[in-house]
Amino acid sequence: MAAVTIERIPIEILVRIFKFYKDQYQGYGDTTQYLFRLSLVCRFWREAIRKCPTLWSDIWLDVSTGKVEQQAAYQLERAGGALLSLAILFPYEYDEGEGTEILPMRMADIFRDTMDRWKSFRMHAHPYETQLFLNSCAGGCTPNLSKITIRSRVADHEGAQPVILIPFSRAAGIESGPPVTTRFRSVLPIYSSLGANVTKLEVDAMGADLSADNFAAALSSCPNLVQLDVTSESDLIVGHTSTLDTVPLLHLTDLRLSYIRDPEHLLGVLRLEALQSLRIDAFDWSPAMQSALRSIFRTCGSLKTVAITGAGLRNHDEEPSSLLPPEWTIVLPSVTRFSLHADAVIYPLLRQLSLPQAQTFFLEDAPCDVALSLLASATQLASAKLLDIFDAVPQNAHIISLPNLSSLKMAESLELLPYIDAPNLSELSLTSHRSAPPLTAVRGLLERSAPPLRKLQLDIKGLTDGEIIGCLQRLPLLEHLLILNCVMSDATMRALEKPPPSEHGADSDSEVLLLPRLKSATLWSHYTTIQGFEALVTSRETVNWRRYL
Amino acid sequence: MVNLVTSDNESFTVEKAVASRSVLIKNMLEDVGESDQPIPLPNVTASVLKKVLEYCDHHKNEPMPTSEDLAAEDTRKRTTDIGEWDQKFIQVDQEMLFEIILAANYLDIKPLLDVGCKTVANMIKGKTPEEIRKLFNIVNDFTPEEEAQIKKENEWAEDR
Repeated sequence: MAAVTIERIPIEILVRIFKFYKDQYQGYGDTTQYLFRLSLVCRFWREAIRKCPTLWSDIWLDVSTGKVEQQAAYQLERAGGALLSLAILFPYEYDEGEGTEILPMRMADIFRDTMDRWKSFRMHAHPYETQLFLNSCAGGCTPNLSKITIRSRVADHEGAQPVILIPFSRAAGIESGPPVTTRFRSVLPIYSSLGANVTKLEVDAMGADLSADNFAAALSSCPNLVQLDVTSESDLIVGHTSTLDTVPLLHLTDLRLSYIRDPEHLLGVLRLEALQSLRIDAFDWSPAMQSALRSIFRTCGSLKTVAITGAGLRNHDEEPSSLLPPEWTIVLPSVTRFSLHADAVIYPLLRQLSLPQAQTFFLEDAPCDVALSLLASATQLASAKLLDIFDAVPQNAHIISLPNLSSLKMAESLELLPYIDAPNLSELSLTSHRSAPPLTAVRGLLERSAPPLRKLQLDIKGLTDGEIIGCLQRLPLLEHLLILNCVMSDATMRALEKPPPSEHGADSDSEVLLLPRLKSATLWSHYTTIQGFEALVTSRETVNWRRYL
Repeated sequence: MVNLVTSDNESFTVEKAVASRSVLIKNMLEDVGESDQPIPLPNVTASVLKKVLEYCDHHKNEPMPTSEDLAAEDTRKRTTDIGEWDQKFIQVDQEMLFEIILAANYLDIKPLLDVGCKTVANMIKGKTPEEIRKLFNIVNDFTPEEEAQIKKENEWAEDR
């Protein structure tokens, strides 16, 4: 049998190879030059490439080349009836010669009749050019369109309209065709009938003055949104809305607002019922935030994830009054992940929250009573992290039982330790630098809960050898140990050494060996000596020891 | 177990789960039901089938591509990545590579076909037409006039 060479590969497989070849360059601009290069190999390849419509259906036009109309005509002819991915890029400067308004309209003339075959549309241009193009496509039907990306040029954005009208439609009604995912930079969309099919909207507000009113108008035009993600590298302030009307987004499950300094205005205008994930970060807390969050917490029973992190300095003192009678509780029945970097404006609301299904809990910058109130409601917790919990523990505080808690990390929050019972804790990390807390709190937890700790990190200022050894003696299952910033000396290391064989035989070693299951330990202290450390390492060679000064 | 017979008359007895990575064989098995009859594979030699079966055995527990996956092939972006094991597997000489591609196509093993096609695509990437001809021993059957004409037609693309 003759040797198999590439010339025996049938045309349909050859085309498959060419598609993978083209995909290697996808996303980096126009791929036609690579196809032309291949078509110069031999006649057979040239015919295979010319006759495959899908090889030509990704049309990437960079206006600066000055040959986009030629390219568009060529590719449209080759693409035949295939679905099209259309990308049009207007650079900052191009030699148009006829004024900036002519070319966008000429481009629209070329592509208007193909709109029913667009599967994705992408445009990078000044909003004015984009709008000219889109206006010239008005009324066109886009039954296959599933992706829209519009990026406005930022440098010359000043004075530009912050919204763009997207006149695309679906002829057969709102339920027809694929869902549409969309991304916009420095501009917001207002859709015509296609908006009913838009399920995802990502907005990068970079460099644009987008107001809450602009957002309200944009979001009203895509009422079936499932995912909304707004971010701004330039710290956007959206301001108040001028209307009292709310925007119902009843299918929205994921909402993320990032670097919007005043998200309360945006949140305040939305009516949400199906939200599952709420993420807000890099914003300034204001009293209105309490009201906005209270509204979401009360109406979105399906909320599973809450992650809120403000920016800048926190206010611990100026607490607003509660918006609800103090005896009322807002239960978040489905929240499994709760993470909050708090501020005084939210303390009253936090005192009334209940998190019965929370598995993962993170709280920073809150008073003790708020932390205890939330923990007491979260009896299913598996993992908790508390940072900078301040103020005294209320006198009427009682011990909170967290039977499923396996990981507890506390930094500057050790005052809460006496009030936690965690019998299944396997990982404990304690950090305190601001004052020496009573170590009885640590020992109290170990005595009360007798947790099967496998991992322990002690980073407590002033902790002495006696206190450390006292803790370790209660942890026979410990496998990983990290001690730092303590007043630990060689005495602790000597306690960890393997004791010399006793007269009673080898078996008795394990009875007195401290941390018999230890696998790794990192010791960080100025008060230990290299000799003490070497003696420890020699004594227990199976442990991975590390020492830092 | 399933008995497969190659074009050069060698028999391979393999697990049904392995043989069924081939849609062709899977359909045959479904059509004939439980049978000890050997399945003839007249388009595949023993040396190639051995290699194909090595691939099928490694991937036997992975989900088969669904009809929706195949229908959506042209509308979504294809990934050009090749898994680590597959990369090592496909490090063969050019003739075996094309034999594997042809066998994967005949036996209807789409993931293997893609591994082969991606490998050839990677070999082509970044090369000039002349380098590609040399790599695959392809004869340039364009006349100089034709070549000049094609380059002229595509001038607008080549200028960039």
